[in-house]
Amino acid sequence: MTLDFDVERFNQAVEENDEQHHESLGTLKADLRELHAETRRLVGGASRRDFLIRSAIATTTLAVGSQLLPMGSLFSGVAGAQALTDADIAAFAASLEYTAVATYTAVAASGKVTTKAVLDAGASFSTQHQAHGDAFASLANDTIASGTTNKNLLTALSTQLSQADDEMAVIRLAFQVENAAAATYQFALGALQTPRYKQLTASILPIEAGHAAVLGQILFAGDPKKDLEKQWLPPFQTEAGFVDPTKNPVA
Amino acid sequence: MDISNDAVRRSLREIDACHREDLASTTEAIDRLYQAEAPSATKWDVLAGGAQRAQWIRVGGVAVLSSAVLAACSGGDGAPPAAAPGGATTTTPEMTKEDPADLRVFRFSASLENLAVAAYDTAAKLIRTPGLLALATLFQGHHKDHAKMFNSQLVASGEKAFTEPNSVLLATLKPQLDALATEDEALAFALDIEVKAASTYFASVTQLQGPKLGSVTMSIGATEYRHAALLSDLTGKPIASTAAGFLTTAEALAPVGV
Repeated sequence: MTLDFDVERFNQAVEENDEQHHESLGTLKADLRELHAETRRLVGGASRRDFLIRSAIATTTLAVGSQLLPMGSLFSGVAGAQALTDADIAAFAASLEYTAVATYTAVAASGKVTTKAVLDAGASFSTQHQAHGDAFASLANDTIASGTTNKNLLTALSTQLSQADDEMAVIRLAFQVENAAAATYQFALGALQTPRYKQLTASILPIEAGHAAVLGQILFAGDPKKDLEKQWLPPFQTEAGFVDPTKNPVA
Repeated sequence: MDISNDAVRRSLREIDACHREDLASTTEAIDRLYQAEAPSATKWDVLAGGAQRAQWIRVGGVAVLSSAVLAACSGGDGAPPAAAPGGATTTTPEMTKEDPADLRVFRFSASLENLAVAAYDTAAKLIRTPGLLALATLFQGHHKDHAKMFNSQLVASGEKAFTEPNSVLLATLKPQLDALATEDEALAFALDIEVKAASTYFASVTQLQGPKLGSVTMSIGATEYRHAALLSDLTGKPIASTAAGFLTTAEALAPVGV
């Protein structure tokens, strides 16, 4: 079947989209067929996990929250044609945890935090992140060594730490790290398939959220009306603000 | 099926427009989770993740909503049209089909949330510090939201909403509630309730049969643990069951009274 030719709309389409989409047009028909098949599977009750894996095979992109997430490039060492496994997600989570440990270590060494209670809280949180990292790494099928940080993320956080000019700025940074971890695990819970991976993630997610709550108490002086970022005490944990694996792949 | 390049480009333009509209609505939907007026069903869908996320896909170079592509190809609105008497076209509302065991978890969860709401009613009478009272009021509001969420799924499944506190647990806790006399005691009691609730949701993660339910329950469990962590910090009472840095089932409640 050949559809009607519409010169005006064609020109508009070329102007607005051609450059952006030209490289991918060759795969469109195959993608459409895949899409129809996938949508039928979804309507028919196929698991979301299955969909994610097959989407990764097709090197497609999914939207997570407001961000686009090319699942095929989640991990630098994983080719687009490979499925995203629970072990992959565990490795990514481990890298986040080890990055959090490194961040708290850097915070303590920076001398920018002088309040003992905050330093103590940071030390406690860091110890827990180390335990979380080790737990995730143990489920990652030996794909990540203990202490392996997420380089992109660590670089970004190091930059932010160096730019933090007072104690509250550092606390805000830690607050963001904890909230981002919680959001990432909320995302992961929806993607994981195996019970033991779900269970581990579910046991860690609230702890990170709790860290954020404690740090938020300092930031907002205990006043819920100062919950300006709507992250301190939200009514539901969401994926908003999750760490994007495509921008921060496991090295 | 052969498709001309002209049609492809035209479709891409339409798809891209749909994408931009739907991307905005997705972001808005998540933002609305933070607002009390967001319908519980909407919150559930967003928290479940799949409804929005799974329908996005890259076609060619464009990220699109799968239903939009189907609509572009079929001329519909993305929902499968159903023939109605007289030849009219309509869509059929879909009744949620939940596993009976999952529904029992929802009922118990709603009863637990209602219990927390009642507990904060009692506790609030003892809290004199304005900031703490504001927190307690906020936490109670969250529990009301959570109860609505679970009840929305019960109703969607043809069940009756569970709007009362869990009677068995309430009877068990009543002596403690009646004995509360100070602000500190009220906060400590609230801490205990929050830890139990979060632990209970954690325990349900691997028991729930629905594929997205673990994610939804932990979105609530994590919130309740935020409450607990903050109350722990404020009262100086550590949470023994999570001392190792992991939520456990040590404080989880058995699903009774529903």
